[in-house]
Amino acid sequence: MIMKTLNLKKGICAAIGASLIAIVLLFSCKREHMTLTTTNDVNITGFFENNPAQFSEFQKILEKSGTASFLGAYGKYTVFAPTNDAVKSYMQNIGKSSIDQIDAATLKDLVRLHTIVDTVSTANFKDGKLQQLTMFGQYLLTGAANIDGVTRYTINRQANVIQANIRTGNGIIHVLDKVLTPATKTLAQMIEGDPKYSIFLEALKATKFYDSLNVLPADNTRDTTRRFQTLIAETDQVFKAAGINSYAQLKTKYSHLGDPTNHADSLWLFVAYRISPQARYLADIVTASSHPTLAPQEIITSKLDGQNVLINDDVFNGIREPGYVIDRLASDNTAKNGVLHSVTGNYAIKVRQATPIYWDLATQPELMKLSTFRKVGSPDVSIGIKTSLCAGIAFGTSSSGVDNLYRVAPLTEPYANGDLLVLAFGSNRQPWMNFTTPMLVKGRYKVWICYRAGDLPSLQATMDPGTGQEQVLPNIAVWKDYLTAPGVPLADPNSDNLMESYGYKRYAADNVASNSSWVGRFMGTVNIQTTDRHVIRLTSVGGRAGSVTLDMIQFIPVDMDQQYPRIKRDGTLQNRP
Amino acid sequence: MKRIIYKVSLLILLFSISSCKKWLTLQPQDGIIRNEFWKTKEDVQAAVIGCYSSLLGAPTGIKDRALVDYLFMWGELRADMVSPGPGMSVDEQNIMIVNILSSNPITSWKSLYRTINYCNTVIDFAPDVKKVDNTFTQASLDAYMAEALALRSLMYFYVVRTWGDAPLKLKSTSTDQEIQNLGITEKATILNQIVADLLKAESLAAVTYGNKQYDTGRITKYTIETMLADVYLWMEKYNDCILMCDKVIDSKKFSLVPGAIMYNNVFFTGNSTEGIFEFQFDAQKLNPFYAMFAPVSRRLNASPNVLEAIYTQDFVNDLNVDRRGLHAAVRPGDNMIYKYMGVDYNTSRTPDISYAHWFAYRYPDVLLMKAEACAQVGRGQDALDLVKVVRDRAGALIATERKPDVADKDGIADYILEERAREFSFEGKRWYDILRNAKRDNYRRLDLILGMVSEAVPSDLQQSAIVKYRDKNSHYLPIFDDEISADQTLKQNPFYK
Repeated sequence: MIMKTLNLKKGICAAIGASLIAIVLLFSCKREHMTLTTTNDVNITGFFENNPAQFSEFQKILEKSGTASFLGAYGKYTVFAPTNDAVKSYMQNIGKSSIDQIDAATLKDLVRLHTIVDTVSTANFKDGKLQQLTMFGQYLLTGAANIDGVTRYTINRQANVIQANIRTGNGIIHVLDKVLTPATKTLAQMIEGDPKYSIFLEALKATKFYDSLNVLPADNTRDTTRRFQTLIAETDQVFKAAGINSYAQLKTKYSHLGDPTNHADSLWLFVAYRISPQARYLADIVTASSHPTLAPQEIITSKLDGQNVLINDDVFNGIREPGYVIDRLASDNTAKNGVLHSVTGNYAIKVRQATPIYWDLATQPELMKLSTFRKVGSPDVSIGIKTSLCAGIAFGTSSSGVDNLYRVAPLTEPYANGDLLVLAFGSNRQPWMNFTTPMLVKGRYKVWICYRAGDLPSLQATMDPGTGQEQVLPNIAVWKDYLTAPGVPLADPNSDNLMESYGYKRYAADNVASNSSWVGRFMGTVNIQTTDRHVIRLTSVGGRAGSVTLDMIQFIPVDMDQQYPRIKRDGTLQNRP
Repeated sequence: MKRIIYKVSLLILLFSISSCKKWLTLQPQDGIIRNEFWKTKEDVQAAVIGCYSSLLGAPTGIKDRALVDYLFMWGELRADMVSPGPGMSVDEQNIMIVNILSSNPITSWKSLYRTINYCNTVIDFAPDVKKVDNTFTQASLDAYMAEALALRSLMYFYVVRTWGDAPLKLKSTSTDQEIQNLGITEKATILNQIVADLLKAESLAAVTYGNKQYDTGRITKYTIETMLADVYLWMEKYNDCILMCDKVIDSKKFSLVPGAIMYNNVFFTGNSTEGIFEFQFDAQKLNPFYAMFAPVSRRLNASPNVLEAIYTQDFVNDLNVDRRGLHAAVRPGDNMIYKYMGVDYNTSRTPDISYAHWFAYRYPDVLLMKAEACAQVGRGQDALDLVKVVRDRAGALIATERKPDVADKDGIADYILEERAREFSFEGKRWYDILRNAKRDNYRRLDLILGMVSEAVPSDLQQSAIVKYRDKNSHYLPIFDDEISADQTLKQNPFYK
């Protein structure tokens, strides 16, 4: 009986179940298709899973190294993914037949070398390192190569990008035709392993730089700015061309104290002058004009001339000193702790005496190209309101819309070279302007601002603002102060000396002695520590707004005559009578 | 219950008698449909004029740059005569520095294919109008057909020079059913189509529309012959090119404007005696150039190189200037691109009169195209004579004079290329001129492009830019991503894969 009821109940249940299914089936045939995800985009790992024909091997590497999960998760990554063929040839090279034979730690390093925690598309590729470090801690070097008429991006000169900029949910994939292998040598080992650097190697060892260039980035806790370094090495051939046939000759030539480990010894300085902190690939070298070296207060300058990268190609005191060409093909070599370049000429620190710079601010290359440059009667030329059209002049932010101008003065006005800059300073105009100076040799200088006086804003000068060498100059150029401001009668035969003692001088040679409008104002003394182009900032003080009439800035070594030479309207110098 | 039924039936009755009878008709309220258009010759004329108007700007409701904005960028950004202004966008900058991705909207060809479709519509539907409108003569139908064919060919000529292989669409799309995947047609096939169409158009075209403005703003037989010369030159068919140039020259319809009044006549007023085909901007339809070149936040400047190296200056005599350079192509001081921005030597245009024309073809182009072709077929002296005509008119400076040997093909070609830079500065021709010379005889002169790029890109990109340009495919733009996703049969240029 009980069984029967159960059976009956079962029967009812089955019937109800069946009808329910029937109802569901009946009504479900029109079910709306609903998308339950916001996007069909896969993440990086998903992309590899969807394309096993190309990436099954790399997928295995990700899985074995335990990195598949984070590349499948939320984030921003760039992965350089080698194809199956690339992985196979890599395994062949290291003598393994399958991924399983490689240990997980090696694979993890491999993946980390192929991964950047940022999204980097080919639009960010330059002729040098990517700005972002790989997770492995080495920079990747990008470039391009043309093989049989087809150009592809290259990575580390080891692999070609065969498909670029695949966008996935959490980053970008670039497909490589080879597996990247990390640099295995330090800078010191690279020099040691290359027989063409034998003289340079001995110099490195004798000066003990060999040891500091042999430290791995992670181990360099003493000086974190030198975890990566740049070495510009010279081959034996270059030394020989300069008449140095052996290390002994190099030592004789440079080591004036006989002890290359002494930091004052010229051989130590010779080597130190070739090492710069941080990894500077050629693309980095050509984008900045100067680079610090390990030689105290000495810099190297760099520029691009056509396709040549030149070191120390400088104009000094109006004379061009030809530079040294970097050997492009033998440069940009990535080491574990930096980058190695090769130079085609033997160069050393130039011993220079501090020399005065009588700097006409209008000698900006952009202005000198004008057809109206220094032509009397030409209209004013804008050098920009918000952004400067001259690379050597930078502005603060102006809200007024008042233009900054280059002006050629009428013949009656004794400006040096006959031209001036008319610069809008003050409250709603430029709060400050930066000027990049010509090359200044290290030393102590008195700084003079030369201008035409008028009821205009007052300026204070700062040397190298925002750097470790910042120096604020104490005096203020009060524009409405004429030469009479110190109270010295202009007719006084001793007026020049008296004025100088108050920090004023006559600077315009073509100005008559009784005219007080063209003023040289002493701003203060600066200590220039590196021979380089520096930045001087003029800041408006006192709140007054107006366009100052600025002619020159003079840097005169402290031990030299400050009053002479004066500058004529035609640019020549008038020496002390 | 009865009352409810009663009320409901009353309501139904109310709706059925009061509703508009045409409630299922789907005709637009604010436009005209095809069945009602294409009835009279005036309709055909309106459609043809519509093709021309599409050259001046995107139609209302479509957010896109004007065609000439694109033409300027495609023709100049990759070359060496412009430099970035403060308002330049990242996309534009990326084209300049040879960092071109298919996601860059400047690589979109929409604006060209829009005009192509308008022309196709005319070509498809105009012949039928003759059946319904008895006053529509065969001669005027032919003339309209010639205009549409020629304009379409000009657009395809831009396409084939900018993208290389591209879709070739010769039928109009006027309904959704007609949308189809076209795939890619090879450069050579497109060029052959252009030649065939232009030759057909030449035989149909009008010689004049009665006044100079129409003759310069609309396509005449001489416009078509000029276009053919340009296409033949690109295809390296030099004798055909010379033949076409001679047809235009022998017509005696065109002449060079004297140097002294050149700027005013040719560029400020427009439709001068040397204008062959100009896009007719006017006070009603301003050009986009004011925003591009004039304000503080302008997008583009002339490269400082233009005055210095291309036109050069006479340091001894200030008054001795190339009429095409200082205050004509470029305003010194701020390097403004003055060709479209000036009223005269000292006054520049205000935004409300920014309607300088776009100079698709001017007579000097015919002379220099003939010179270029002559140089290639061993008529070096003829080539040099033609160059001299163009130079003498403008007062070119002695510093830019070259004296290549009459047998020195490359020397003469280089000289003509330099002269074209001076004559057609900022007319959207420079890149195509360089590419045409570089690709001649199977890219024998690739050095022209490599030399240019080494000067034109920033120093930290120079090396990769040079290597990129060694790949011939990189000389053509990628197909824009949107197009690829709309038509899966399009094959991306392999360089951009």
